Amino acid sequence: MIFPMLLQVAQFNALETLDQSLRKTGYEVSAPNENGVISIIVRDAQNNPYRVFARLNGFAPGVWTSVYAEKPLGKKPLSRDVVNQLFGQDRKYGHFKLVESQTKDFSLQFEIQFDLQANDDPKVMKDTLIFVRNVGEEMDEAIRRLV
Amino acid sequence: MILQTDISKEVEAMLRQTDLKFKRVESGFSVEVPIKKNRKQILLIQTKTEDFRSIKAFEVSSMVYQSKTEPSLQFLNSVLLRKLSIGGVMYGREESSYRLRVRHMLSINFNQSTLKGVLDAIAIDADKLELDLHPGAEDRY
Repeated sequence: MIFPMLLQVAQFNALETLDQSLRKTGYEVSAPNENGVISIIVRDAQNNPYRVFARLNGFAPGVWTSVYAEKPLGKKPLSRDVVNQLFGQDRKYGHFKLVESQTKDFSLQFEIQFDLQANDDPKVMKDTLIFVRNVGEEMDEAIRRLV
Repeated sequence: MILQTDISKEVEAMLRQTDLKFKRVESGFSVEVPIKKNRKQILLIQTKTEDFRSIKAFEVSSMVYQSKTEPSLQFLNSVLLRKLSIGGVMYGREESSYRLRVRHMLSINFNQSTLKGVLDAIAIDADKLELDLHPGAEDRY
């Protein structure tokens, strides 16, 4: 029984480290919710807010945002046009993924996974959040035209 | 201006500490990762970093599909829905072939155990995807 306890302690410590690394960026960071998801408000040069999330994600923690977040994509999977839009540009970092909710609705996320130690540098963490926001905004606009 | 760092020496030194077979290729290293009896996956480590502001990371990937035939939309959707251990799926048309890869960008502040963990995780996910595409086949793409 000691192994699951040790695992829980390690996960708690990692979540705390992730939380602290995010706070060092100076952005507004919420405390982790019961699912271990941390919410961050990333602001652009005009002070417009954009919501990004962080979590421990198995092998490596990740920062993600919902693309086309105003409503779920619905019960249909992605069309060929949307798939082509997602993969149409060779992005340096991150990946898109489809998430199916308990009500069988699809939503789309863009995520970057990283090494917690490397992202303890606030500059690197901030740039990771900015990259996720930039792709999220850009894709949200592009997909809105297609859906 | 695109800034890139060459980390060939660091990657090679760490690969030598593993028992994995690897060889130099034009863009980095090709690494053979055994998964289980009779199965393996070939991974590519690109040793020039991709930089965005202060982020410096390099690509570790494995090809799971390469064909002149476009994969079905149903398959692409199922791939996007899949929960991978690490990284995600990249898809596109390159040199008149449709290609699908599992990819993760690893920070240059990596150590040997992180590199080995990432290689194993990508190899297992890529192999599963390959088996879904071509049941029973090995490196068929």
